Amino acid sequence: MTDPEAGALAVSGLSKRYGAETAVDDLTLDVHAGEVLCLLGASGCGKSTLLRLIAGLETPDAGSISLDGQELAGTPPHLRAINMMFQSYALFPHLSVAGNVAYGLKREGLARAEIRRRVHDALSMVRLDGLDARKPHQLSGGQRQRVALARALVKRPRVLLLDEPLGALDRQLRETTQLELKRLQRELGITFVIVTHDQDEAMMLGDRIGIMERGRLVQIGPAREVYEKPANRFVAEFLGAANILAGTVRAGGADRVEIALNAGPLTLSAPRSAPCADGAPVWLAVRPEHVSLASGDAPGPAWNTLSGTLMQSVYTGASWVHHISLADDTVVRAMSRSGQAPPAPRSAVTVGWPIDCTTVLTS
Amino acid sequence: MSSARRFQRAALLLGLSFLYLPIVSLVFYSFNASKLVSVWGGFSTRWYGELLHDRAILEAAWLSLRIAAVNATCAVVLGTAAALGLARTPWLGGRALLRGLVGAPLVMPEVIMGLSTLLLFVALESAIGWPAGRGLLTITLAHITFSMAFVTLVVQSRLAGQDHALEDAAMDLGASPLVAFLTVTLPLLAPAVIAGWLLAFTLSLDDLVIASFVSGPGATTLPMLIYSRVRLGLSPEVNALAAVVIGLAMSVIGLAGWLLSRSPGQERGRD
Amino acid sequence: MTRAPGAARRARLLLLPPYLWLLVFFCLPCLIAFKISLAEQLIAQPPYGPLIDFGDAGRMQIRATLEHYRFLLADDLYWRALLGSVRIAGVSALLCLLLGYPMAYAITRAPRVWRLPLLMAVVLPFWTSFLLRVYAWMGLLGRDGLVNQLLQWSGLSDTPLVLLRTEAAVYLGIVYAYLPFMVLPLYANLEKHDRSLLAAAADLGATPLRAFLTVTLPLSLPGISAGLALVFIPALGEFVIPDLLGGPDTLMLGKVLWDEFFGNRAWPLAAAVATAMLLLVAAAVAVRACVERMLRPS
Repeated sequence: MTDPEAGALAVSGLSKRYGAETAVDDLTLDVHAGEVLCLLGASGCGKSTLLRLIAGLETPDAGSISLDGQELAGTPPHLRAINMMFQSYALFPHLSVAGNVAYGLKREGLARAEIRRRVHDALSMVRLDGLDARKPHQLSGGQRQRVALARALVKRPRVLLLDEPLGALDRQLRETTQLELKRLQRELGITFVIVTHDQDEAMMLGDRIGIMERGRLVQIGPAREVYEKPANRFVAEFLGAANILAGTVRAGGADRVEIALNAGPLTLSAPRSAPCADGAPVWLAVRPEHVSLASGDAPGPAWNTLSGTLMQSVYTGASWVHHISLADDTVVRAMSRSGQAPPAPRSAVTVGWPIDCTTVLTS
Repeated sequence: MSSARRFQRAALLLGLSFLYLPIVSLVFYSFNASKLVSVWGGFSTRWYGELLHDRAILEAAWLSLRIAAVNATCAVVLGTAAALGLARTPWLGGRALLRGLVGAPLVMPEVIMGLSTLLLFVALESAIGWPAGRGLLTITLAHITFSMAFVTLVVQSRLAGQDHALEDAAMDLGASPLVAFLTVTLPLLAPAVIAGWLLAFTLSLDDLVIASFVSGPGATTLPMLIYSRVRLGLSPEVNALAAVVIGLAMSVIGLAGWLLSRSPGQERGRD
Repeated sequence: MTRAPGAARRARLLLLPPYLWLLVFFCLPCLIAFKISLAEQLIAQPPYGPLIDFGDAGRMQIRATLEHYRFLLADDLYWRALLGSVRIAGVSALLCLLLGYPMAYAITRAPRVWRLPLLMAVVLPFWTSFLLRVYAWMGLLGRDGLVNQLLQWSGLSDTPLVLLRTEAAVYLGIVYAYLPFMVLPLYANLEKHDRSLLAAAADLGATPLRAFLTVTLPLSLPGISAGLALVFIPALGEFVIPDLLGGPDTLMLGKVLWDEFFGNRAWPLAAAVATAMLLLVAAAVAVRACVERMLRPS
């Protein structure tokens, strides 16, 4: 088991440019020892570059990276106590499975018997016993992924970087592998930094999720926090679905703020989260799962309501997703259980949601 | 079979017969007892016997083999270095120029290369006294120049099919750049390097034009000797020599091609 | 691509030896050849004069002359050789295409397990001695050669035809020698074609011939262009084939250069011919680059 205190990364002011393009832009991040941090973002947001910078495969233009307090600048990749699992797995085609896993240990100069033992243990840990002599091209995608994992873990790094580890696997395999990955991490206590573009994966695996956009870290925190309290519109729309309504701050009490919607002569309420000046332009965000079609009863005082026209209802198996058009053609999405039949299209409907589920975004 | 299929089959058959008929005829007539090469006079292996006793041919062959071996080895070192260097250089303006330079010997006509290289040697000799006289050394130097381009071509195409992350992975696992190269990149390049060596060897062994220009008295390569003989007409001994050379070349190259197709490391789709 | 620290420096180090070698043994010779083409012809060893001479009074004289180039431009022989080279290389390339295209196409349509052996069968002769294979045609095309024997035996001809030492024999030789260079790029291109395109064409009402003309042929243009270039450009400078198979009136620049150099010991003139050839080849390469850029899907 690894030292529970080891494996803390401190990234500070990191920048990396390729010609005119900025891949990583003044990024500051703290990775806690022993946690699983998932970096989530669209392709091109710089998350893979960040990983390569931490691994030492690229040199930053500015900023620093330190591992457990020790500055890593100037240390080449082969001397860092960090290992990486590559997106393409990068298994050495000319070596067997055992040869691949043993590669890193051979570089450490360990005794042959010791290497053999550790390779055997590593392969058992990822459930690949008996496949020592096979060559990579004789393995399935899932098996190759596990060899790549074993190869990185056998060196007992303090931090393991994983670049889209489950991207190449089919859905079934992905789910089982996610659980195994989480189990392994708990057992070994190694810090994992996982880069992915798959939200469900990030939410499932990560103790904390970091959202990246255009080289910057936009928000970081436990999954629940990032999902329910997005920092800005990008995060709100990126993680899960969100209804975004533009408006202006009207007035506010101590714990509530009134917002006049641009979409119509309506004022909605939201919990006050951050100070906003009167007249400031803001956006309201509310998740579709909180929005429901109002039945005949009048909603309570703790609800926001809107009127609009139902455009279509989409059946997704688990639920109905309703698309309602407001006066200025903004579309609001509401959900209801699949058991209930939806109203007819083009009928006028009212939607509502609890005020406490509304988030005010200033950007 | 559809008419299109039949046409394709016919074209293929015609083409392959066209390619192999001359080779087969060479070998066939090497067993001709008659001195008139193309008029059949009975079966005989006497020309092979005469071949074995022909000092001029044996010496020329020995010279050509030595030149080819040295040339291939040097060309492989230089050509592989060029291929690796080109693959790893970040996008620079100079890269296009270098790439053009490395590929130029491939398009340059041999007569020009031969003449200009000779003029270089003559100028060098009068300026600094080296190379003193022309022969094995000058031929080898000239051969290396164009062989290198072919090796670069072969190694480059192999490099292009390789996963770039492999060297990164090796370094990440604790290998210094040099060790990563020796334990990962080089073994995977090996088939291409070997193929390059064989290619350079064959090209050198077969070169007539450049060797004619840069050679000197006493250094007659095998192609030069063959050329001087066949200019005067057909010679049954040359047929025998041809049969030997072709047989050897085909088996070696067939082996190399088989090796190259078998090795791992290339991105191969599943059928 | 590895952009690890030091990778760029290592790459530059790797490139240094080949680069220097090529500068010395490839670029420098070309410059020297150009310089010699401007030198005076002398009866001496070597048979040309120095470019810069310090005369009796110690004054520096530049003894460059354009007489060789003037001679090239004026004398009929060299123009005919130039045109001959272009004509012969061009016709050979086209003939090669006519034979090579169906072959390449047939290989792509063959069962998968046959493809590599077939390709190897096409390429294998290239690896045996070029000179000896040209010699083989000398045997086949001679008066008593196999071709004449077959013609007479089959009754197509009464007397042996003169096949050797003709321009036709040169075409045959070039097609023979360069066929693999046509088949390989064509195969590489045709193999990548999306088979479903032909199915789509058929679905939209095209006959197989029409589908070939309107779908396959246009898509194979890059391969055709590559193959033509790989045959035409080297064939421009061919020497062995026109020398052994061609007649006295088969004029190609390679042969002219050889004759001037070895026959007449006219080194400066040969160098001038070499310069002219180089320009011709450079022009061909430039045309090829333009065509390639045009054909590249944007």
